[in-house]
Amino acid sequence: MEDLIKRLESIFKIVEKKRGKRDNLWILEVEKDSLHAVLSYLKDNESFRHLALISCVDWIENNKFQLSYILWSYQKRQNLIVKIFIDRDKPEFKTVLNLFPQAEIYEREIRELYGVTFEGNPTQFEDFVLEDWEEMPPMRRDFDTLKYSQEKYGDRDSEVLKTNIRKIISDYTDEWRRK
Amino acid sequence: MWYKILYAFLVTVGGLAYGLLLGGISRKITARIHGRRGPTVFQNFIDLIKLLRKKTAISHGTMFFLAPMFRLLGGVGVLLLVPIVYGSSILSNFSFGGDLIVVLYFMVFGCLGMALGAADSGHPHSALAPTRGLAQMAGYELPFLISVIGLAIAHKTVSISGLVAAQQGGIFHWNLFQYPFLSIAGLIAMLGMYMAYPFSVVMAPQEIPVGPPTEYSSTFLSFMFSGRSIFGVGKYVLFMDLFLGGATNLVEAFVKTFALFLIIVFVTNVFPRYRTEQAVKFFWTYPVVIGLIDFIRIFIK
Amino acid sequence: MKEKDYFLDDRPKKLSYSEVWEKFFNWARAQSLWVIAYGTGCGSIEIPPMVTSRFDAERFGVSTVGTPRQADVLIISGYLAVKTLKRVIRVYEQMQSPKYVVGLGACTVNGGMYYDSYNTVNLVDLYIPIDVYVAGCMPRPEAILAGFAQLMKKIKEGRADGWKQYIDNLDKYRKNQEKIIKNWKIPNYNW
Repeated sequence: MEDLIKRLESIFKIVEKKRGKRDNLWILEVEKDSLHAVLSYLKDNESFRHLALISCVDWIENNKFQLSYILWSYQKRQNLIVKIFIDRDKPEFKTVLNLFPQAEIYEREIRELYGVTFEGNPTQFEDFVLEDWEEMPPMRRDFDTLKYSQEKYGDRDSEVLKTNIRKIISDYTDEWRRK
Repeated sequence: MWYKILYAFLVTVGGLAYGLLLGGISRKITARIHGRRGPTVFQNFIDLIKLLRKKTAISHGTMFFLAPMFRLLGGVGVLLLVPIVYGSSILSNFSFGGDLIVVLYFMVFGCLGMALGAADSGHPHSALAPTRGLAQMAGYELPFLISVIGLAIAHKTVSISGLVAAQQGGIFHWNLFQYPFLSIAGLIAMLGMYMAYPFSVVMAPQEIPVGPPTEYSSTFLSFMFSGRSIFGVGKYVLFMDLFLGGATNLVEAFVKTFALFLIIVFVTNVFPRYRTEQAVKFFWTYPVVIGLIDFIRIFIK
Repeated sequence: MKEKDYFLDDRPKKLSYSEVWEKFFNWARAQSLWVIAYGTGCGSIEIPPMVTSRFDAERFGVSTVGTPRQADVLIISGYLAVKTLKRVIRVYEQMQSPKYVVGLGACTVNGGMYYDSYNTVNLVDLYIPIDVYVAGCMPRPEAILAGFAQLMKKIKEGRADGWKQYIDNLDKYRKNQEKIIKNWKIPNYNW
């Protein structure tokens, strides 16, 4: 695995490299513009032909979105996670559909849940999990799910419930003390 | 003749009760084979009562309403044309010379009505089921007709009472022993008629939710349910008359129909299921060849 | 045939019978509950053990059917997303009265562990009437059977009247449903 990383470093600029929890798992951070070149090189020359997942992380403190492309090589039995950071205020990126056709669904999901758009993906604006969603994309960390849930779906008569529960608990403890 | 109408009514009600009870016993036996306690044997009665008083608010067209009637009519027609007790003026029902042909017609009648109703209900699954059902019917009709026509030629009669009369005089005069290959062909066709398990793809509760009656509910379903029970009893009586020498009293009729019922139950519980084309292929090869052995023997004689 | 012909334009009607007959039929209804095989959430995994050999619900007359037209009981098995709620309402309205609903798991009571989820309905009884709740996360098949025993008791006493409430308060339920379901595309009355 280290040989592979060295070979990659000789061609591309690797911002950060880190070994994962297993020997055959490494995490690389590359620059946003060179991602397609890196994925294409890994697919054609290093047998990483399987894109297992694209995932997204919201780093609200750094004002960035992280996109991770998880690759798997059947010949070498190795995992490689290639990650990039994109600007949170301008969540746009280019699709990898030309390299991996299965990216279509993953990108559609990320578009729906994080609002990151992928230029060149024809189906990304169709509904995936949510139907008729009109609010902010729900997996962004500044989206208040509790407030949204209580406003939209309501809550059981919480005051009544809480007082009842407190009464039941105090009755129980009183009885327990008396024994 | 008026008392005949009263007895026809009593036979229908009795056939319904007997059919529902057999259904309950079948459910109980299946449950015991699974290692469960199972429902009570009267569960089918309770289901029927519940279905009678469920409300319905669906309308799908004329054929949709008529199909349960056809089903019920097919069942009642078969039961009332087949002599239950040989020689009895009452329990011979409405049998007459040539009733075998009419019974063969009535047996197809119910299925066709069902197919028309299911196609009219507009549900894709219930339209899918009749195509399977009619294909399978084309499968089992061939061995069944070979066996029935073989018997008719052998005994030179198309009356069921005539066939029963020809079998009187001891157990070895039964067609089951006189023409064993025709009987085997007929009994395999019977499995297909009852949609017993190797040939149960028509109802197929796993793939197509409940087969033809997908859109039917409440009273319609209870009509179909009772039509199916009565039809079942009618077919048991018919097969008893054809192969097991009929019956000379009611107890004998009960014992013989129950024996036929047990064949169905035990075959159902041990076999997996054929697909439609496999079932048709099976029906057109083995039972047909087996039946033709006796068919040729009758002609040589 | 036009698509409209498959639905009714009328509001549902309540029919009443004499009490003696109702008592007898209630007894039959309680002994023969047909559950529609429709799972909304993780609780549907508890239904197969309930109806198969181990717990054998069939001995109480509880069996499964594959079509809403013939079903008596709808089990809301666990969390309910808005997307699923549309289907649940449609299935519930296609079922023929009398019909009963069993809410399974803590999610149907008040959202359970998904109380703050953006996509899980917290209070199911705002949208369809529920006759019996079975609490737990997840309730075991024994608990579901206990819930069914409760439902049978309610039916026999004539207290399981959720479907009557739905007919009486249809406008209220519709208002609640339309509040969270945007793009309401199903016909107004589809029973």
